[in-house]
Amino acid sequence: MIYPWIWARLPGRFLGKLATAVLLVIVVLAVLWFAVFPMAEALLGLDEVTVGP
Amino acid sequence: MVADQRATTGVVDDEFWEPPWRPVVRGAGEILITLGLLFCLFAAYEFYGRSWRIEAEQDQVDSVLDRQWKEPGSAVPVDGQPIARVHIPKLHRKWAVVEGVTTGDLRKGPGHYPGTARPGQVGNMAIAGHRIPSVFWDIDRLRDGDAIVAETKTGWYVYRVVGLRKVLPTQVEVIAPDPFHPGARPRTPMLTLTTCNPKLQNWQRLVVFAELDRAQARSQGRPAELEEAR
Repeated sequence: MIYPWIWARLPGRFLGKLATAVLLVIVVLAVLWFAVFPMAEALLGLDEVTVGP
Repeated sequence: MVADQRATTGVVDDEFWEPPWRPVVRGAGEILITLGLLFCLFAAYEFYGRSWRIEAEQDQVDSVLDRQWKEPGSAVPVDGQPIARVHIPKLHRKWAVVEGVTTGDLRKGPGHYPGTARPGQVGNMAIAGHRIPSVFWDIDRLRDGDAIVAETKTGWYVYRVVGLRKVLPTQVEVIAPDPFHPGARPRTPMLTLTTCNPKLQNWQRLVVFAELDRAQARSQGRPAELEEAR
């Protein structure tokens, strides 16, 4: 339901919509990969490898 | 065409009719698929993303180390800056080790616990590293007698593995000057690696102990242990 809703609001005809959609996907992936995941990793403590009190 | 049929027959219309709960189910399905893809992506990031980032940082830190060694005098360790190179010939790996074990330091590669011994010094040179493919992923494959070689500006220090242990994250004695007799005065130069255990989890630490076997000056060339593995 979310995806058809977004698709209907993308500008242009089929090719225009497709190009915008690909761009959107790339932006979302980049934000996840470079900003959200590093933060999630620190919150989950998955990067702890040291011994300490 | 479809609109015509719908208008004229009224029968095809039924095919377009949806029970009211169907959009809800479809929406829930979409959310679940999205979450599934998100978790797969996060797993890929944990495995490959961090490795790539550390490899890129290592290239840079490694060249800083080369530059440092060309300058005269001995450098005082600075947090986040490289202090030595560590080779594990059995695993075909080498890293530039940076000073410090904060999250930021370990993003560059293995980190040297501040205050622990320097390569070749009597005491315990303790190093922490991530359990990811480009760092300490495979160190559980090390066995007694395997070589771990530390390389500094002036020489090579060949350590031999003397034991592996799985401990709790609070067991700081593993990085004590003498890890086998915490509190005692150290008598030999040791090298200790710590990483998380099990793989991709964090409730234990895998610790590898190694003891200095021999040292050789840089002028004597690369130690034979490094050539064997080629």
